[in-house]
Amino acid sequence: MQAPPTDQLHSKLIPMLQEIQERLGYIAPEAVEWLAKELKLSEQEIYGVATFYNFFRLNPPGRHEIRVCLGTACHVQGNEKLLDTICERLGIQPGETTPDGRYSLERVACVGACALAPAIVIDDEVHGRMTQRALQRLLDKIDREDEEAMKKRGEK
Amino acid sequence: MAVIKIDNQNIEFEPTIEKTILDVAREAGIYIPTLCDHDELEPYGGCRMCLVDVEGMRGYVPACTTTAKDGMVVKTSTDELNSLKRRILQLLMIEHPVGCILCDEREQCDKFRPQAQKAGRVSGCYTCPNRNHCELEEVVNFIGMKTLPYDPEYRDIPVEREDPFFDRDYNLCILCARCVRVCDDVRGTAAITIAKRGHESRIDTAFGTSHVESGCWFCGACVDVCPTGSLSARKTKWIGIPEETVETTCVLCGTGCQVNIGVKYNKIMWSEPGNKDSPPNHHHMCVLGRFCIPTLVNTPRRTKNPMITKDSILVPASWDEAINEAARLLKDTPSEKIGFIASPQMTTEAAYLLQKIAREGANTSAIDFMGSDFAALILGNLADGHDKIQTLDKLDEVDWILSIGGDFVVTHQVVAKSVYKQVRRNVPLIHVGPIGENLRRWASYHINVPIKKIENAISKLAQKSMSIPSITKEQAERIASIISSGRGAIIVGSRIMETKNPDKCLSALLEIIGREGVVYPLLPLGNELGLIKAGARADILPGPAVNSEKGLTLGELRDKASKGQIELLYITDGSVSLTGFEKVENIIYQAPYASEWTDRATVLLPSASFAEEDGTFVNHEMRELRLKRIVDPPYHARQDWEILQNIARSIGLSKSDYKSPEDIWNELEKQKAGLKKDIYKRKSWTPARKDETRWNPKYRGVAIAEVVKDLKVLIDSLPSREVIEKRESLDELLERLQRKIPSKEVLE
Repeated sequence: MQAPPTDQLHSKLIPMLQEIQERLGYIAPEAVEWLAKELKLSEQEIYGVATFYNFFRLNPPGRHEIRVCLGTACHVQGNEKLLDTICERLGIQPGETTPDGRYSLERVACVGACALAPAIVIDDEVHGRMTQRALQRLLDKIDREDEEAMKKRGEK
Repeated sequence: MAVIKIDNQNIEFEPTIEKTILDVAREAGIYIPTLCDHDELEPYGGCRMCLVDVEGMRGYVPACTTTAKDGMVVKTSTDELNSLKRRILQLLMIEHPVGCILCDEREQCDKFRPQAQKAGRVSGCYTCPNRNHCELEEVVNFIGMKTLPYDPEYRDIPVEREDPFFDRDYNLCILCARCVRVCDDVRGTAAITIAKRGHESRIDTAFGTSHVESGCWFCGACVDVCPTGSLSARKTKWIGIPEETVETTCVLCGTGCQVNIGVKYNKIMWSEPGNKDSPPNHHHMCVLGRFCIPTLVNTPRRTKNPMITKDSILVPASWDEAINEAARLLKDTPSEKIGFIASPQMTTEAAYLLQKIAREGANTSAIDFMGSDFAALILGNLADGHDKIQTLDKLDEVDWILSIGGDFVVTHQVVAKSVYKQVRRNVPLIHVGPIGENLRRWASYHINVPIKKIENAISKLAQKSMSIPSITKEQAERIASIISSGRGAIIVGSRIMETKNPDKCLSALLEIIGREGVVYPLLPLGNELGLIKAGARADILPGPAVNSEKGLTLGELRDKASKGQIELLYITDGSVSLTGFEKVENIIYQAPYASEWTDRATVLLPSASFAEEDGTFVNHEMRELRLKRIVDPPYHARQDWEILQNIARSIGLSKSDYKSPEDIWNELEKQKAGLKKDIYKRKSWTPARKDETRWNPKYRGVAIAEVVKDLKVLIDSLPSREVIEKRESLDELLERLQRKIPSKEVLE
């Protein structure tokens, strides 16, 4: 007589991680804890899988998602330096979210806008041929808009 | 028989699917360098150091994952292969501190220059904890890597020292994943994992928590398999190599693990797992044996000099004075007013002498030891032959496992490792009672009842009832069909004594496993079965055999003492609580550690710890294991059997001129064994305090965690590891988490 195969449980791991990410936006530590109990796995095993795949994010997404393209063309055009600038300005590393939840930063392999290199995607809008100055202006603009939105909400 | 040709040498072998080229080459004595391979672990194929050239196969194949087939022609080193391996190794070594490996002065330095070895950062071999034996260095030397054509890069990760017992310096890590694999596949804990991938991959816990939080048991298996100096035992990393290593038996629980004790400057400084082919533990240990023994035997809390009370003050005395005083007390006190308490952590021989002094010298059967009830329960119920008690290797032959009476992953990590091996091959494990993190993952079925109610659950299992608490009817049906066929094993822990009727509980268990089944009693203290054999219990004579005379159990002794009816107590176990014995006039205290008994002692006899005495230990498999005297006991302390023999001589026992523990053992072996079922009186045991049931191992008067502070950190973390079964659904969880996302506030 065989035990109920735990493999069946374990094979649910990735679909469940996907479901959590879809509904919550990221894989929270509490969700990993919950999954460990549900699937008879250790938290380490789940963390190993979740960090292996780029698809899963372990930090809550920010209000604005910044994706810096580091594909071949963007890399050659020096997008790495722009990434450094963003890191410095926001005080976070790629894969992290600012403590106020406004920005999250990611590095991606290619966004398919090689002709516009170097490209940075903010909230699903591609900004091509970026320069340091254009980047700063872009971020200033988003900051300003957010501030106004906050103010409006305050008045209401 | 098949034939394979390796380096122009024809080798015959028995072909199986698991037999790889590496295995065949090793058996024939051909060396193929490896880094990620380990004989306990499945082939991994990670390091690419074992690449070989097989005629007719495309490219080079790793010897560790390629099955050996008849007629293969293998070359282990060609010029091209060697240069390929050298390049792979060079890439591997970019991030490993290579200063000393590449240094031109290495040979001169080895011979002539004294090295400062203790360093915060490891920059090369000389400051590495592994400097005396390094697998990576062996491979580098074999492959002949002398230059590094790339800029070395230091990872600059701080050394992780926050957790107890071992340091982790991941600057040295080569990501062979041996530690992850041994933790995951062999010990079943999975306290570590490889996080991220590619260049960023590293060994880590979930979200970078400490090992205490990630569920590590500090068994040290990862430290033992690490080929580099990344993982090293903190206490011993800087003290060089042992002058001598001796294999002996650890007595800190009933498993009786073989442990390699390393000695330097005539002191015990290392304790490492015993040899690979030494049962029962086969090179695996628990936290106690792996990390605690040196601190435990070298603690300043040892008793050092024989002492006697003069004018109500304890003063040092010579051995003759102390022995004479003890003998005088034994002779002068009326026999009904004397009590004896043996220690489950003393040798069988010493216990035999102690009961001899009690029964022949003092003419009383008032002798008992802590934990004797559980041992007597087991041996009494299995009286019709000991073939029910089997060695751990026999677990390979069982079809299902039922565990009861405590979480054995906490108390008996080596047994847990043997059980996990079966769980890996899909043997169903049914656990009854409270459960911990590991068992939760391992158990196919968990009957979640408090320890008091396991008796009820077990009797229902035995009756094949379908209404078992905490599980559904379908599950009960499945459990019933599992346990009604095949050969079963029962892992029974000592907390079974907390049920109302332990005898009935055990009988029900024996009914469930039937005639074919095997029982693994998890003795919590050590040599309990040895002491039963030696007759160190009121109702059992050496052999063990039935004693029809009336004696006193530990509880009865305590009751009598509290009424002031005991005048002399001969106690060899400081772990026994003093409560109830305050009125005893004279106490002879014989132990290696000072305890609350020391100040009350009339005569204090310092004895040797288990690493300093010869003798025999009987473990839970009924295996007779040797204890060896590795170093001398400190100061004037002597071995238990020597002290007891001197006392026996002084009170004029007929035969008391033993030359060695073997003499005593031979005499004990001549005693006729004959236990009968159901003659022993046992009461259910209720812990006086709730924390008494917590795992807190003691050794003859000292709680190990008091001496080894790191162990206290682990023990303190245990309550948080117990699994609380009530859970929320995924919807509830996600709803709760949604509210916590900071960006949502901005968004709304």
